[in-house]
Amino acid sequence: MVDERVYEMFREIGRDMYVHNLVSSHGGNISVRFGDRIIIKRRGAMLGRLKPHDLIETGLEKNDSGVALASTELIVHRAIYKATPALAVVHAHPRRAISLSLSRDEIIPIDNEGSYLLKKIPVVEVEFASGTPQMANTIADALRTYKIVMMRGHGSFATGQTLDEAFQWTDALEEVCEIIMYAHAMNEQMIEYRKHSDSYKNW
Amino acid sequence: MSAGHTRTVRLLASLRSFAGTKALTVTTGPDPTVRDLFAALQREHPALAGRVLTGDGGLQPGMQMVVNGRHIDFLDGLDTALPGDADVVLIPPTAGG
Amino acid sequence: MKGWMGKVLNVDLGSGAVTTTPLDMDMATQFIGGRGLGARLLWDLVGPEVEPFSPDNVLIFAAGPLTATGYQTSNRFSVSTKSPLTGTVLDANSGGWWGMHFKRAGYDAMIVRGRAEKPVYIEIKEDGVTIHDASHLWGRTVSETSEALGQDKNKRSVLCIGPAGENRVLFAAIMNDATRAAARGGPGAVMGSKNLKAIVVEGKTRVEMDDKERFRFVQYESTKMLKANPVTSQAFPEFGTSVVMNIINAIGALPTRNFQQSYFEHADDISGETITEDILIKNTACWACPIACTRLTKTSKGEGEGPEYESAWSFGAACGIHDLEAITNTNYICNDLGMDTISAGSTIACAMELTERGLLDSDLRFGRADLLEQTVEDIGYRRGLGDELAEGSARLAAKYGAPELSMSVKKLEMPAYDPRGMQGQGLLFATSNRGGCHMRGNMLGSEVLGLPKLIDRLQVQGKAGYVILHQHSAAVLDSIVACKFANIAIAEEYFARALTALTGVSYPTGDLIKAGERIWNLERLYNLREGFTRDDDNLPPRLLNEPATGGSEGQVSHLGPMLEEYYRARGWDANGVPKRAKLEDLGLAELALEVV
Repeated sequence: MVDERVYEMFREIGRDMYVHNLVSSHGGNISVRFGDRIIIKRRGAMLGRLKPHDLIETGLEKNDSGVALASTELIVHRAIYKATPALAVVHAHPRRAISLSLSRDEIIPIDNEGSYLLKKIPVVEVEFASGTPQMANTIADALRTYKIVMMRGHGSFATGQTLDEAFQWTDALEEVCEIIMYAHAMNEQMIEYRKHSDSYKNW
Repeated sequence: MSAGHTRTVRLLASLRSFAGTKALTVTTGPDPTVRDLFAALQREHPALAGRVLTGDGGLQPGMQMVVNGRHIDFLDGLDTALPGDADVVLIPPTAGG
Repeated sequence: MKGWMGKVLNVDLGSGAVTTTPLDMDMATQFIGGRGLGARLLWDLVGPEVEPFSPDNVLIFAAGPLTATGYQTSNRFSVSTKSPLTGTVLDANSGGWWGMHFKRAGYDAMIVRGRAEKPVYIEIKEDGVTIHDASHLWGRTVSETSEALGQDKNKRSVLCIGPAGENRVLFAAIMNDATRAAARGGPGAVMGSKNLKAIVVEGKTRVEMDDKERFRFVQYESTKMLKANPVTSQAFPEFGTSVVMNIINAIGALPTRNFQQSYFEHADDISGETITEDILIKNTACWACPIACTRLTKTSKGEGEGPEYESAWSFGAACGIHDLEAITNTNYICNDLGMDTISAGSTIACAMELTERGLLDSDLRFGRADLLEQTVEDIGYRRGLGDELAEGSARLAAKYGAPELSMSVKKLEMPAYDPRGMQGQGLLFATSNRGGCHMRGNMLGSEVLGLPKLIDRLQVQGKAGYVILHQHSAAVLDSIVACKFANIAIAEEYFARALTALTGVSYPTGDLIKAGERIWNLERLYNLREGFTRDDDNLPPRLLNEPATGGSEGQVSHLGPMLEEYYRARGWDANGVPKRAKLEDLGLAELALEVV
């Protein structure tokens, strides 16, 4: 059984993700790493309504009893934990970010907060979208360099020391994309206010 | 008002210099919670409350309230009860080495 | 490859030979510099047969690729050796100006071997290295020596030992720029054993950069982080490191009277707030540091630097003392004699408990502020009881029949966080490869301050992961080399990007942290080769059995389950030995053959 405090954390972050429109009813998944164990959302559970039995514990390296129940994207979470120092992973389907990922190879914030926090979010492409080793490796590799990445047409993967932190990057990304969309829709000449703004694309 | 209806909050670091005192005593009413204490702070020390609390009565990011050694996040949050002898401490964002 | 200077200076004090060899770039990319490079060199140079005070032990002074570049806090260097206090691999690390000048003299590292027949000092300039007689300096204090050798932070930096190093006090520090210290574990005693009084450096060669424009941009973004962070922009400059005294006391994790309690009723008297109000002249900074946490202070006896949090605690709460004037004066003396304040204070606290329990015949009792200054002097000069205290608390407590009263791990005295009130910090102390230490990773941010995010300090499950992450980050910071206080605001990602732009070697954040893991595992192998075992990853029994007080009332350390989780998470076996797969993954399998 997972510690009550750990469940609380999952429940709060899951709820916030749903309320913030970062996932649909059954979409997305989140996990934390505890030593050589992973605690991850159960397959098919609703992030916005997590119950204690919706959390599955399994090995970082090895499969055990929990694995059949775990999220289909467990393989990606494992790959991320093995390739990066992350202790928490948040996978979401942020709608505006997904829309922008369809036409861009990277998302560069134009607002101040987004520039400050994220600088640049790369967009990666994987042919078979869900839970394949190729996808796992591509995402994990990108997360060695960036704390949040977009998978084209699919969604975001973010890392952090806590779920709270990985959620912060995810929510910030969606804000970044919303602002880009508004600015784009307004179609007015932009006035650059950030020093060295060209450098963000090299981040 | 009896002594049971007041609570004292200790202030640390920059909150001390801001308030010009090491501790504040506020009137909370009987059996107060952290929420009641914050409401009392809003009433009696609005300047400090503005620095510490958000508009909806929670703690600003990075600000900590510790009751008998425990951060209220790991107690009952704003519903944490404050017994008369509770050591209540407000801590601004800080660190050390 | 840029960033590194590409040269290692070799000085043999026995023969007087001075040579320069090229830096092994493969080694440098794997172990980076500073502590990592030092550990890797020490692995080859100093085996288990070498006693710490033998001429065959070495002192390795190492800058990192970031040192002297102007990046925030890029002023640091490390000293690596086998510790005379702990017998473990050791590096101690210091700020100021010396590291910057040393690197600008054209070197990444210097290896000092052998023992001089009589006291000497080394002078390093870009046009040559000379060994001078130092007989006239032997016996002189740190401030006297620094002045005599022409300390001028803007062009000529002096690194030296004081009387404590000469007298081989087991926790003697190496001091630089008069007041900065590479202190823990006794590197100053090793320097003293080599009859090396000082190393003076002058240098003006700029560090070359691979992509200067990109480097400057990372620096620009890092500045924003420092300015936006309330700790680095406000709390440290205003109150110094002791700003945490009242906080740690409020949660019941301030070790008091040799860890008999974890709450000190007079903590406010020795807090950052009181230091600022009562004795602060102004704050000041090391080279290229915008944080400026250093305290310039004054007492009725004079002016000086400090006390830092750890020193205010070790001479304060640890000894049951709240006389800030006495603590500050003692700190000045400790600096001038060249000693680690944590070990000095904690060893005095141990003597106080031994005395109160009737095991030691002395006047040292908790609260005796009047004896502090004299006692520290006696330690530095090894006079009377001071001669016994100079061996550290573990040897002292063992001698008087109560080894459990030494508040140390691997014979290194623990710093000012009680493991009973911060579960992760306890695991961190127990597993630190130089002994009880908070600079090999620190759970303060995660368990108390909420940086970057707060986790429950009393939680046990999952703590190993945080401890490991912080240990790897610390190894990276100590190797690139930058100050851990910068890391409060600037995430590892920024350091990785700065390093990549500087060197031209690609260091994705994940890979840089993995370099930290490689360094950590190499240090572990070193200690295993020295004969350390799982039993040494432990805490004093008091912390496992006697409940804490104050805000952590009733708590004990749950080290057992955390340690098991830690070994598993690290890919080590149940005895704490790295498994083959882990060593292969880190590229250490070949090196490890003689141990595993």
